[in-house]
Amino acid sequence: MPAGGVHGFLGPNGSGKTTTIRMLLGLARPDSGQAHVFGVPVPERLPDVVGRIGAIVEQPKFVPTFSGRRNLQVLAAAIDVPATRVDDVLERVGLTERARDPFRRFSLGMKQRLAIAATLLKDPDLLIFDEPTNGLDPAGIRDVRATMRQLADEGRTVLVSSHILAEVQQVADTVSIVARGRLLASGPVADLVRGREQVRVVAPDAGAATDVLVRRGWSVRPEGGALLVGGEPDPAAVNRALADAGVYASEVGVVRDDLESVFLELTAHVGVGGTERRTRPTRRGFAGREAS
Amino acid sequence: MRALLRAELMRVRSRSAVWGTAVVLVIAALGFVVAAWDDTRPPSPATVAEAQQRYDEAVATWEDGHDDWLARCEEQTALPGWDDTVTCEELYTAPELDAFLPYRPGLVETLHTRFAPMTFVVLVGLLVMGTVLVSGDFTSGAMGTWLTFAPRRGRVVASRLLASWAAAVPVVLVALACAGLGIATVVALHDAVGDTTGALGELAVTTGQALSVGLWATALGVGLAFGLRHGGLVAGVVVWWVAAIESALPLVVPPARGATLATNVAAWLEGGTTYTLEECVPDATLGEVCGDVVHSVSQAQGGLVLLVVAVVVVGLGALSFRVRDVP
Repeated sequence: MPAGGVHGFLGPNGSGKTTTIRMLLGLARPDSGQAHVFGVPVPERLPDVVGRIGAIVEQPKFVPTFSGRRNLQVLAAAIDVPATRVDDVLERVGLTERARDPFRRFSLGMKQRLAIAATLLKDPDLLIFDEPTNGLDPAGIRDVRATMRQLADEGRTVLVSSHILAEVQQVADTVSIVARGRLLASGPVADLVRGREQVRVVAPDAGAATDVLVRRGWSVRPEGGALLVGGEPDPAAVNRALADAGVYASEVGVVRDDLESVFLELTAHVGVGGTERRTRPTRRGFAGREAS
Repeated sequence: MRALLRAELMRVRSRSAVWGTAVVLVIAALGFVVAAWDDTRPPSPATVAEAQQRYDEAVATWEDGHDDWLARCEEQTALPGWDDTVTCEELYTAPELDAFLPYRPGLVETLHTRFAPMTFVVLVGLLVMGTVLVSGDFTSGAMGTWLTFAPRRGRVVASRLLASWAAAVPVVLVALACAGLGIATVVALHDAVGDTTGALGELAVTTGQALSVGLWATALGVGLAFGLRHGGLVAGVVVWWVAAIESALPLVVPPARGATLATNVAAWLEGGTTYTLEECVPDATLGEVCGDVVHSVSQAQGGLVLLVVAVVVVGLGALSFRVRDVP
């Protein structure tokens, strides 16, 4: 995944997102294969880079009887971070007022914020959030999303795994889509969605319009009272082709697929827990630096 | 490693398991103080009056039979071969009131009967504490978070064990101080101190034994919890061990008695111990002669067995923690 920005790690439930993250963090052992973070193999040399990684795996998990502050103080001591940083990160996530409460009394949103504060103790280059909005109310989801965006804007790399695609599309710059432990697609969100644009044409004489467009090599599919023109056409070119043939459109516009459509199309043929029926990875590589 | 240990020390200072164990051990210590208070309390006026009555009756009986008894004694001692180093007057002494009053042990004896058993309480308490200090983090999932900060699992085990030991020492000392001071206080209040020779030695020996056994039990708890990851599982294994290995196995395989933890703990605490086995040897006339044979287990052997057990349990726990995925 590229360095900097928010990278969405998408896949259906059971597709292997959390397992992948747990392997990267040394919490689970891979059966085979290799993983690298910041260029070093993990988990073998994870201790070399763990100080640059902040992670929340699944639900935030801390000592339930400790206060929020105490939990962070212990973690800060483990990595030799000054105790003053605890107050800084608590303030940053808005937990200063409730920092003395026991963790077990925290709401889910507060637990999530405490976990984010814990990841920030290290001042990490890479943040890994595994399903960070699970169970949160809309305000909590918005807060987490804003925090991720803010962290990325500070120059950090944020990896967020989720199966809530709309949420990822709102915040992610790039995504990887996995199913049954296999990478199906990876790249900038715009690239994945691009090529899935269609031009929507409404013409009084739909039959004549269809003939003209098909002769130009585009695919045409009627939908409702309109025609959907595929094959990466330019709306202006479509309009011009129709006009040149004396067919005038009353409406020409672009219809874009969202990430959900891409995701559903890619994962539709790959069973989550059953047999893989078809896998045709639509790989799009990244250019430039890589964080891992 | 130093930062990790400092963090672990911070953690154990705040863990309710440590404070809870300390409270339970202090309550147990107070129980022994209460027992010592009961042992040494002066008799009530009613008890004294009853003892006085029985004493008066005994004196009367003694006085009535004194002359007859002396006469018979003189006849016996006049016979040839009688050891005349003890006179009949010395043999037939007058009753004493103390013999009719409840027995009140002195400080040394009270420490021996009411302070020394604290060792067993410490053993159980610190086994639980060591277990909870580790298993609690697996149950809550905090261990996974911890490993994202401290991924070297060997160091995590080592620092957790050291921190648990560091917590165990004051817990044991506080409990023993409560017991020792409490017992000494009630004995003094009851004016039953008596001869204090050996009292400090008894205190020092028991404290040393409780500390050593406590640290051993803490290590066992930590090792078992790293291996089994759940307090309930550890409790199950301990109960199974006590029932199957410590209790049932010696009945089925008598020589195994020498290898049980109970025997070796006793050997360590008591400066050596013995156990008896019935052994049979061939005999030319009777075919086979069976008899009880006493086997001894030295303190060194007991200590060595306990050390090996602790090393094995902690080693296996660390190995399991190292190779298994952490939730």
